Amino acid sequence: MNEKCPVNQCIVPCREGRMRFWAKASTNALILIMLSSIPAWGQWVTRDKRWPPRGLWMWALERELPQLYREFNGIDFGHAHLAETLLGTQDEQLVEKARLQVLDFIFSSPPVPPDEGQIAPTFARLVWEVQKTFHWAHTFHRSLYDLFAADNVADKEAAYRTILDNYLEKPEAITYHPLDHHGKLWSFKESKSFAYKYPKFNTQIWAYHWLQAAVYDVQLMGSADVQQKLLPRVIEHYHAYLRNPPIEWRFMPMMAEAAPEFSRRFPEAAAIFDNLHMLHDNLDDVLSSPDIYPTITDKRARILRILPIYLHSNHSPQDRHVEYHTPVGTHEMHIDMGPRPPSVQEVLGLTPQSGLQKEAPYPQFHNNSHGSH
Amino acid sequence: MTIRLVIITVACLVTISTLPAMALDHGNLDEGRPLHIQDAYPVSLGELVVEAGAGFAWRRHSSDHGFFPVQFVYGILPNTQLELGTIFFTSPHGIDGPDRSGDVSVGALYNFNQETLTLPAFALKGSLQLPTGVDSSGIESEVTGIVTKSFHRLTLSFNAGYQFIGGHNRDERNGRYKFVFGGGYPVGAPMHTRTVLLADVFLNQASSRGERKTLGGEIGLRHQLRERLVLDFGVGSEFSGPTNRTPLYVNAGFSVGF
Repeated sequence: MNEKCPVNQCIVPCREGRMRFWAKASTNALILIMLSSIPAWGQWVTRDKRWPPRGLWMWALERELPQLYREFNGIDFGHAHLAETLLGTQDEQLVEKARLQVLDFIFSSPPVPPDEGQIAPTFARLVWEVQKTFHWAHTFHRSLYDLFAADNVADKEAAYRTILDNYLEKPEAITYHPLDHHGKLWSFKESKSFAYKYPKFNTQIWAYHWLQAAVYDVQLMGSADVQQKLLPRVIEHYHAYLRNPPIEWRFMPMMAEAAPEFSRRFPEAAAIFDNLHMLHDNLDDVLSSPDIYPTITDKRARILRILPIYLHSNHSPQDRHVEYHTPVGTHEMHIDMGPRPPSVQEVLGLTPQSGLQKEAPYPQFHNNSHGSH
Repeated sequence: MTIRLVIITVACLVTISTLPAMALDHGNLDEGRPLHIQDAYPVSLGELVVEAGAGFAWRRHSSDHGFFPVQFVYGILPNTQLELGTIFFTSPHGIDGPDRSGDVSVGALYNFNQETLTLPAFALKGSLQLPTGVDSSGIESEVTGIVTKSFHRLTLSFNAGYQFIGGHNRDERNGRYKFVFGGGYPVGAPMHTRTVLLADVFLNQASSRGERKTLGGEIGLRHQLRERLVLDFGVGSEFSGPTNRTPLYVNAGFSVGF
């Protein structure tokens, strides 16, 4: 107690003086933290979390289609766990272990959506710009599932317009312009690396996207009761993909293939979801190309060069990425895509198969690699 | 009368909590749910959250009492939440310090940025406590700076606040400092992310001159029961401080999003 009070210069430091000292020390510590962060201020990004648009449709999916709701909760885990795994390792066994963990999680029928920020903390903080794009697109997805499960909404077309407009007006919204998935967006130097290195995990993810698309056409077939009756067969088909990933697929399922009716009636949403799924593929390719992007900084830089191609604000009103649009007058399917996934109508036995090369509605499975489920 | 009001309020909120609502960020920490520590993140834009709870404090040389906080939080602007709340005590006339039973508090938290791998998240919170409660005499205001920084799944926050005390007596300060340091960790992640374990330590300057500052610690958890319903529980102790400090208190509650 012989030291001088650092504030009032008393011989004996009073309590108030000590308190002021600690207050100043804390303030200085805060300033120091901020100053030490200056080199990282190039990463400054706002959080911008948003609540879904409100309407009579809200929460209908969870209420009316609980089994599907739980499937989607499982899918939410899949992308995040993959991204975090690939940031830490490229070891095939460890990636395969992560794939099986995803399956365990999905088959646990999770009652609540997982916290993606806690599943993939490194990925979320590495590229929050992309994370909030995913959040907002997934919120759009959920709002539409709610809408089509809500029998109390009579004019679904009008509600769709409201939800779509609300989605597109935010800067992180993905564009509805059909982009050149099979060409330019699948021809980056890192493209296809994830599919080549981890074909099972890759097609497992494509199976999620098949389900997400197929559900929409089921929802257009009738009321929530009708949907409840039809969905178990679709989910069963999806689970078969999970147990034996369809590695013969060479390109992601497109909305128009799995959900032709939805794609015809709601083309903007269909295009947004195709673009969203392609963005997922692009990111997985970057994360599985350490030879091209060896450091965290390289990965972030590359991802932030890809993201603007997909943002609606870069396509409307001024188009800054017209070179990535689907070439006019051409159909995208000009590459060999191998066997294609069936439409949900084919899975349900409602229409005969088209003449395109497609897999059987009930696929012939290879080795049962996850038969315990 | 006050107890009856508290019971009715809590019953209404429990009823409300069973109604459908939407995904709640159970890792997002607001003051009092269940610990002192708060992180730098607001609720989502357009989200309405009702937070309520019940607790009991065992005090030294002073009357033990129950407490019942209720708060409404709304994402009113991008990265900004508005807060409106109050707290009731079972023995409203026996409460020391600037917090009085039935005082209404209004506040806002603004988050400047999302945390990245190197950059912490920063937020500033301001609040006013209006003298609507029992034996209240002045307006208190408080300004708090918040920093949140994570290390993989461990998220740490530091709160540094200053409370301006209105209507103070001659032996009371016109303001006091408050510091909290703590954080959370999701138990069982990545496979399980529904439960976050929490802990903090806090240091508050006494509101009366000549009294010792209060040093305490707390532990607790937040558990996501349903998509839009989070339960919480906390237990804490004021290790050192004035003679009438609280050696033990418990607090349990819920947050429900709409």
